[in-house]
Amino acid sequence: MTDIPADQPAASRPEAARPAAVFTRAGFGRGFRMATPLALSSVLFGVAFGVLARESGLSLGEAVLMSGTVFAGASQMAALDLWSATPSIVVLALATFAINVRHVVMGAALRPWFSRLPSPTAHFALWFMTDANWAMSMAEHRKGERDAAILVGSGVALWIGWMSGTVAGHLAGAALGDPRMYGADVVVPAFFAIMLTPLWPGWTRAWPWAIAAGVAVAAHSVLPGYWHVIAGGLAGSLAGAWADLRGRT
Amino acid sequence: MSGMLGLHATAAILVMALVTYLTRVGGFWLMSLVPEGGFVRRWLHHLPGAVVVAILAPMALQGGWAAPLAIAVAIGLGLLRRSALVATFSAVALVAVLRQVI
Repeated sequence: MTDIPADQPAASRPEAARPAAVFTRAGFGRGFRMATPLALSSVLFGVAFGVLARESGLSLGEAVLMSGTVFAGASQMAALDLWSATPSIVVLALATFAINVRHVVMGAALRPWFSRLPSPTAHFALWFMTDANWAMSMAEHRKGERDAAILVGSGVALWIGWMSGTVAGHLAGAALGDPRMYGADVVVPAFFAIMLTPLWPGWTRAWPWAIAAGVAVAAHSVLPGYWHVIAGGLAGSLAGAWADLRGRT
Repeated sequence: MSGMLGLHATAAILVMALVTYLTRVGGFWLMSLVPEGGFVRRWLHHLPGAVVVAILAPMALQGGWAAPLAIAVAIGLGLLRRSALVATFSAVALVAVLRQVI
């Protein structure tokens, strides 16, 4: 891992000096190991999902199919709220979109890196993108990582945790207790906070982050789903880009 | 009953899976329509930090002391260059222990 200073804008590095994206077994392994704490938390959240899925009337096979193919916790939890004997597919599709639309901005941020991969590889890797391993991969990329398999390795670790948790939760039911007892609910905030440190732009350039936080908190109180991530993320990043352009001229 | 796949439920789940995959590749596709110019490159450079802040800020304000404490401990250990594994588990363990005590 080379140590490119976090506050150096990508634009200031000449195009030719940046190595092309790679996709290797070693990168997969790095991602898998780095995501271990998250995988353990996804076991616990998977248990919570499995328990709720059973209570909502999903069979074990249906809960496993959902965790295995959708692989997006918040939208799956929301689907359980909307579940019935014959759930409305249109309503489920809309709710899923409203919650997972934040992936669109996340995928956009991966474009400069992943567009250097063969298209099928990029499309395969994006299947494994979730909030946590995306944040981890972006933070590593800022530190000099170029191996896109880090997203897949970390995604597979999360997927295994999520699937085993789903099965355990559905089989054991409510007997496992509240995952909050083990602090499972703070794993994700703690991990995201660590991922912020390599992205820190320095005190004089931190104000776009304040805009992102303010807009996100305000939007969170009025908008459903995860639209606050879009609102805050766009506001903060556009402010930062605008400041860069003004600062240059 | 348990373990079986209902036809309607399976269709609903597969539609959810398709919608979710489209959100995962959607941004990647959309950015192919946008020329990778100066402003766009700067915008994409600022995007990860802003998105993580936007995810984190409402979380930090929810559910009492646990999330802010975990975030503070994690950032502190992150600044001390501890690994993500050590920092996450330290923050989580502290919250779990405090929950037993309080």
